[in-house]
Amino acid sequence: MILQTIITGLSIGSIYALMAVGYSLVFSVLNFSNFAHGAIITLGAYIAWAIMVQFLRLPFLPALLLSILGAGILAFLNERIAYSTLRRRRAPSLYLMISAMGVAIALQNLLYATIGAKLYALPPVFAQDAFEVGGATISRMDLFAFVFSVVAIGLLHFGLMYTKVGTAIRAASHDMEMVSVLGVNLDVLVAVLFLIAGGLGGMAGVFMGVKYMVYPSMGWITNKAYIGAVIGGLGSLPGAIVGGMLLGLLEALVSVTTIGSVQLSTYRDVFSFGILAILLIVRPTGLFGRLVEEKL
Amino acid sequence: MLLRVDRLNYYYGEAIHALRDVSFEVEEGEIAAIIGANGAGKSTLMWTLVGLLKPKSGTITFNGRPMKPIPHQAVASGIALVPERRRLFPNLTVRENLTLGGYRRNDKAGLAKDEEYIFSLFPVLRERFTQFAGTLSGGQQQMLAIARALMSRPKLLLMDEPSLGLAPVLVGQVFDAIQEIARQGTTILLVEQNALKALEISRRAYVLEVGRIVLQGTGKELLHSPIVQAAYLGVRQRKEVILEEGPHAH
Amino acid sequence: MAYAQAIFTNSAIYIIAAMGLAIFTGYTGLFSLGHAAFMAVGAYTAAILTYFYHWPLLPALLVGMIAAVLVSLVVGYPTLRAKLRSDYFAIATLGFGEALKVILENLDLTQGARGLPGIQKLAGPVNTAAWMVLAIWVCWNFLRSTYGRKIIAIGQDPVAAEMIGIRLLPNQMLSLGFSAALAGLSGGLLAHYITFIQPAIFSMDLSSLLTAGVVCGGMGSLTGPFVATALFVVVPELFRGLALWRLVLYGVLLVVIMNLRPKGLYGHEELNLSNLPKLFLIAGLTVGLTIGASVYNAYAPEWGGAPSLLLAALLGLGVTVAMNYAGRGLARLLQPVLPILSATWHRGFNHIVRLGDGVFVPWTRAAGAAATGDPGPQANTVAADKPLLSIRGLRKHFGGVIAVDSVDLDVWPGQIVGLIGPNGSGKTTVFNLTSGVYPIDSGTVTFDGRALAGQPPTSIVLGGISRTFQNIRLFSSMTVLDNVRTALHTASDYGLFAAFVQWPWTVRPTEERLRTRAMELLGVVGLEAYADRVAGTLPYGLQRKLEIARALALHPKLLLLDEPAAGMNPQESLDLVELIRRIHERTQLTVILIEHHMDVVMNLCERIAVLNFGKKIAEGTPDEIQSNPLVLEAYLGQKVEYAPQG
Repeated sequence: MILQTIITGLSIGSIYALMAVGYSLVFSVLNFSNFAHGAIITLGAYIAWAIMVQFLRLPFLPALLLSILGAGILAFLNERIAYSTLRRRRAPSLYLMISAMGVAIALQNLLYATIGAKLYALPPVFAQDAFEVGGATISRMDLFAFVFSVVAIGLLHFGLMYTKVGTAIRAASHDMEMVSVLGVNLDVLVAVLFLIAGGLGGMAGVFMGVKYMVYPSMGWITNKAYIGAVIGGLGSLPGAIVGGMLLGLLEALVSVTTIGSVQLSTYRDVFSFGILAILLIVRPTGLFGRLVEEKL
Repeated sequence: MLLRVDRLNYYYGEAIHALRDVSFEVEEGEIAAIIGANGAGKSTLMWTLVGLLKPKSGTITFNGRPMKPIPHQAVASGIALVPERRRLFPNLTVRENLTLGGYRRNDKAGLAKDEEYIFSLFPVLRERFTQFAGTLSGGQQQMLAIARALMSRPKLLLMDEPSLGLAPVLVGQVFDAIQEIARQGTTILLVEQNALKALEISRRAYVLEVGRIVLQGTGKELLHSPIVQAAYLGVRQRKEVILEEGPHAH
Repeated sequence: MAYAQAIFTNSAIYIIAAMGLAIFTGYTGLFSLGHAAFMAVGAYTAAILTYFYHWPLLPALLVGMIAAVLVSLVVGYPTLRAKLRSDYFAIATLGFGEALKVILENLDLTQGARGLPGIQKLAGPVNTAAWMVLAIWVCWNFLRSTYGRKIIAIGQDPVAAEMIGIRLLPNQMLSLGFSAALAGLSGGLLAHYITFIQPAIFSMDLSSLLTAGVVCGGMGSLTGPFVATALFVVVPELFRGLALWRLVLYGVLLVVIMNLRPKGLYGHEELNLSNLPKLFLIAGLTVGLTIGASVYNAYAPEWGGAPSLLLAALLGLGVTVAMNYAGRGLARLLQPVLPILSATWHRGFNHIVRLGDGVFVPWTRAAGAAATGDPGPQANTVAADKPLLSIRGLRKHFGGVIAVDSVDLDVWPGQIVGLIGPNGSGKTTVFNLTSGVYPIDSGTVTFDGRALAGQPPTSIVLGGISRTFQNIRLFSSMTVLDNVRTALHTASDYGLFAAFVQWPWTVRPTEERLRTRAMELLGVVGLEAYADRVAGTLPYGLQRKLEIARALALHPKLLLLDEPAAGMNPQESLDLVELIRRIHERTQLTVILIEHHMDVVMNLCERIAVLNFGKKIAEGTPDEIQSNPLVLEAYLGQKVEYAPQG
């Protein structure tokens, strides 16, 4: 039983982690909360739906890759339209946050207004069989999603550590201004950043769509991702991964727990918020977060 | 003239006139110094030269071409900055900091050669090549900051208070390195609060006071100028100050 | 008619909530993205009371408001206490909003996701409008009171606010509670107007609407959110078919406003004669759109699309332009009239107040609520036989860097002491340690006989240490007068209720006293003529002086000035020296001065301490310092010697 819970937790946790990584990546460099990330994730799912169901009938893998690409491009456009002017003007991060909120509201409701509120299902990807491991079952899809996510994050790690752009991104998370003085074109750097973050988000959206359904307010699931990122420590990528996974595991645990006659699973969201609140009191920077001291 | 600055004006917001009609020149191959007390506008000037700040009026001409306020283009043109307080990336290794210094370059052979040159100037960087920049001592960090700037093979090296926070012995080492770099053909514009050292090694020097150039001359002239001493310590002309000639003077 | 009533009532309801959010987000600067949750609390509480327990409307609304306040305090305390930066706080409010919705969906009392139908329609256009007017009046009063000023100060610059003795947590919680109360009121009225509530109503969409109203309307204003929220409710009604696109528009507007005009419609300004035309323009646009839309709908079937559109556009434009001119005309008309009206009103009001004096003043005095008088310029009551400030072995490190290294310093009452040293020598850190901004690693700081270690900055400030900052930290959107008046908050003694209603017998005399005292302080620095100017528009040198005036408002025993002459030309530096000297002569204030302008330091200070690399390397009179070779070496970087003067 406990194994099943862990597996469930890890499978949703890996999706949370994907979402949290994209979100934390942008936060670590640009120092603001990209609340539009949820919308990009949703759009990733919708792109997959459009490609797999609605307009074309492509199989899963090409659809996944196209969704990743599409979401990345959308995230890039999002940055150009809503953030780049503010960034160049060195506006306070609050303005960027509000602008992000605006994009989130606009995109979600654009979906409602055009495609509608209907929930769509993505066609089953793998045969419905699942693996049996020690008394617990893992569906093929969950396994695929988990492995793919791990590989993607691994590639991200590799890129950040061993490419010039990746090194520049890591440097920019510490001192963006200095990076530009060394000759790095910030516009290009930020574009790459959002392409990556968007791509990861699109990936998460597709996995969410396959696992559950596709609908316009999917983006609010990213609240969980934000909570996961905060738990791990905003601005820290390992933190985002750990935070996302941890949140997934905790949620799975809560879902199967019954205290007295109360099934805790209905209060799952309350629980997530409660964890967040406690953590923020005890350790405001999260598990791995940086404490940035203001220069007085 | 490699660098010509003509009547540069910069305002912070609307009220703070940080640079007032600043004009000066730097000739190719020389070491030029701008000295001034804290708050005089030295760093503001450096940021403007490297393209981070957009001046309200005035021109900057580098290598015969006007400079636009775009930082990554400054490096492309051949200007590199060693900023005040180093501003290294402590979460990256020495090697990675250097890689970023040479970001715009793709010539592997040239980069390798420059790396060797840097190790000859600052051997400690070879020793600590794979360590995180945050673990270096103050003096080592200053060396890394200079090395990082040199990786772009600049024609003009801007240095903002390289002696800041360094013990006297290290200051000597840094200034030795600066002179060696100049000997190898890099033009240097040095901005310092530590006036004496800067004036000793520079051929051309300016005094910046509350955003305005108030004095100019050769390094030696300014070194012995009572005005310079007054500018720093408000010394009334009561005692004559003789400066001990250290082992590093020309 | 009923349709117009519905729009009106809905507007009024949402405006009440928007006013609340304006106080919290617009003025205090904290982003609440789950504010609909407080509306939900108010709505459900009031509805349950009237539905199940047959309470009348008024008490039900009040209990709903109280419930919302309590919930906000429970949620606000941990999150505000953690001093989270805005992102974290916003996420926490998001989480809270969602969590509350889940709770409501699963509680039997609230009948879960099905909601509560059949609530009595006790709210209508009239009483909602009355509540709205009341809410606006109370907000307006609150913002003009000491409490309001403190909250605005926190929103402008929390660090500076602490440095004038304003404790962040209680004031932020007050702001949150007040805003939650208004949201609760709004929710209660909503429940009794639409007669059916369910958790889905109080969704992120509603919170977004409120946030958009405050941001687009303009933060730091009540007029702005009022106008924007009204627009956000009214305009979509005109374009019924647009329904879902309405929210898309909100989102786009947020992006556009942040990028092009972050101030919003009425950022940091309220309705006055000069921006009256703007209001008319906005109203004109709305009316024009309405007329245009109806004309189009009326004529399109007959005349076809294009001509109808043209007619509609022309009419709409015409109305807009006409309204704009009407607004300008009205403003010009009112200009001479308004001062007379205002004076007459004030005379009448004062008359009534005086009539009540006989009744109320003794009563309020007896109730202990009367002004106890401004402490006034105290004679320096410090003991003259021991140092006022005594620093021993002060140490502070950041990461691996030692910023302050075993510094000892004594400052005697009435002295002006200079603290100088090269860049990065630790001078500002000493100030920050002394004023409690950074915790001390080791060593002691004794002020007026008491050890400072462990005290929060606000206690230290209120205990008699006041400071200015290297980069000036004024409350830039407040007037010059208010910057100083806010610092006088300790001398204000009227209660919250009195503030809400601007009780004439306690609030007015106190505010008069504060104003007089603030003008006095402005007079000391020579800024009386600028009293009503917005602080951010002042030239740099005058901003410095204002900061000093504000620091003096706290009756400090010790004044820490951090590079007051920074960025000043020689003439301004001279003025500053004169000013500090004058202040010192008048009040015998003890001053520690960090400066790089040597002429200022040498002229003003009787003693000077020199720091280098965090250590004190010299201390003495100006003459001694100027001829100290260690000092010269620290600054100029070379060993120096003196030639014997022949």
